[in-house]
Amino acid sequence: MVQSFPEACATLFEGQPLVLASMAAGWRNFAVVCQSMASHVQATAEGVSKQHGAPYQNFGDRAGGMAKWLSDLASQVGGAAEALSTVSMTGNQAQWTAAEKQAEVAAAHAIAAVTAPFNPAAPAAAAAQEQQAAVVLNGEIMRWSGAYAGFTPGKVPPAPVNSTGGEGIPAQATDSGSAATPAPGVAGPGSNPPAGPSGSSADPGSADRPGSPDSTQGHPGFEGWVQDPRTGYLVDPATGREFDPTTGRWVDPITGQPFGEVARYAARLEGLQGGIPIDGGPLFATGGSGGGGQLGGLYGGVIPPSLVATNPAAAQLRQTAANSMAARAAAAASMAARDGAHGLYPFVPPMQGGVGADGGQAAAPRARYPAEPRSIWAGNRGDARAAAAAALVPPLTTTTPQGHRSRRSAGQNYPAGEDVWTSDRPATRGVLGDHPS
Amino acid sequence: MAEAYGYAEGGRVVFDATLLDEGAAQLREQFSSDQLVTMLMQTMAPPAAFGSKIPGAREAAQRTDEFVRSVEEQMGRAGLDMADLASRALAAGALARGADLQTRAAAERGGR
Repeated sequence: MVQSFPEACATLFEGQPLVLASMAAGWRNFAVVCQSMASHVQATAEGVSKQHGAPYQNFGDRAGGMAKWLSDLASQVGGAAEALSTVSMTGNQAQWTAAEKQAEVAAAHAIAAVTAPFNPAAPAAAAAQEQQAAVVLNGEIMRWSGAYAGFTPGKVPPAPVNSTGGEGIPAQATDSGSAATPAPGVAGPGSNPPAGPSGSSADPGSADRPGSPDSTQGHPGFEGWVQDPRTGYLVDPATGREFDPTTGRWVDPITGQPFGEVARYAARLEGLQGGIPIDGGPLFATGGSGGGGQLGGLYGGVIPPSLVATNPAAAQLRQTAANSMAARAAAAASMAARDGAHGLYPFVPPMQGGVGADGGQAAAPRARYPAEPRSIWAGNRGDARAAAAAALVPPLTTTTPQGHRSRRSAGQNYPAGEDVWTSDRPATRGVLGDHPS
Repeated sequence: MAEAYGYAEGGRVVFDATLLDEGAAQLREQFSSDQLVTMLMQTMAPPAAFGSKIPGAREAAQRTDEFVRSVEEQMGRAGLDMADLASRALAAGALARGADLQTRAAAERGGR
């Protein structure tokens, strides 16, 4: 059944992909514990089987069977967790698309309401756009539905039980004191580690889920940005600009492709490829209107290739870019709020946004070490404030994603003779070449 | 230091194995066996996780329930202490989530 745009939105946002992601994590933890227990049971079985006597052999056989069953169970649960992650990712992508379409349609209707008196076709155009969005969202619903259909965890195989009616191996008897402790891949002989996210039997956690946030690395300097599950790009909720954390480059708002040098060089004019510096001379100067300059201010001082002023369609492309960035920003803010409500990752909105601002890149200073004089940081901040007040900070220094330039500039203002390099304590023997004889 | 690991939403997290033992023991002190098993089952099959409007959601939720129930049933049949497993799985999840958030926050501050 084809749903209207509001119905499709309601359908998509009723799902809980983040809860599914939490479920998958829970299943993985259970798989790890099961695998760990299988290792311990297997070790117990081998130890007991070395003893002579039928009772020992019987116990060893039972324990071995139990270890095998636990290992198989861990594999099954791990595989189901992987499938669940896929479902979660599909739902997450669908909700992002829905949020973006909502913003686009809302903007179209708002524009139509304003322009309707002198453009009678505007409402019809907005309605057509809504209809197109509904088609897209119905496709997303079907995709999500397909993911649900593909999620078949199956049933757990029967556990081995003693033929005489006795029960299996009590967990405590296996010394599961470090149930999840052994490193992955060290399971006992004959056991199969659970299939992890990577599908590798050696390490159930050797790779993160596809498109999921990287839990171990983070993205320095991009606090408050949100990762688009469809592309993996980081999106600034304030401006809608995107950054590719894989290649370390900004993303062109029209083509969706990374451009320019890696971001740590994006604030420098030399060595740039694929983008035009905003004050880089004739190409932009002939363009005139300044829209490209504003966009360039968002991208480390470089105009995205599709927006260079010499392009005959530059004005339209700039408008398209602005529209898509606005929709993306709205979607990112919406999704960030959703993540925050779920308690997944607390959303910290960027401190500043907009053209030329250092949106989302201000990093908190680290704590002062006990041995550091307070004047180190006090002097530094004072100098930075004085420098900022003395002159208008050019955009190129404020849009560096890593904030390296800002810190470097501030560092040059250390006054000579500051007590950073002095100490009240006498030097001990052996310092500065005074070797004890 | 022995290492243990668990999973959070962001992926795998490694932490000190002692913390896991302590966390699991603490859970076993705070909750009864039945409560721990119930908590684990709710983690593995939370209600309404699949929604109801997407076609196939109800069926997927039903399959999940059946799977989780069969896990519990077979664990009991095997005579394994489900509460012990539950406490460890829950502790691993809690530790992983906490470490994941802290690691992410530290990384976003540039490691400072």
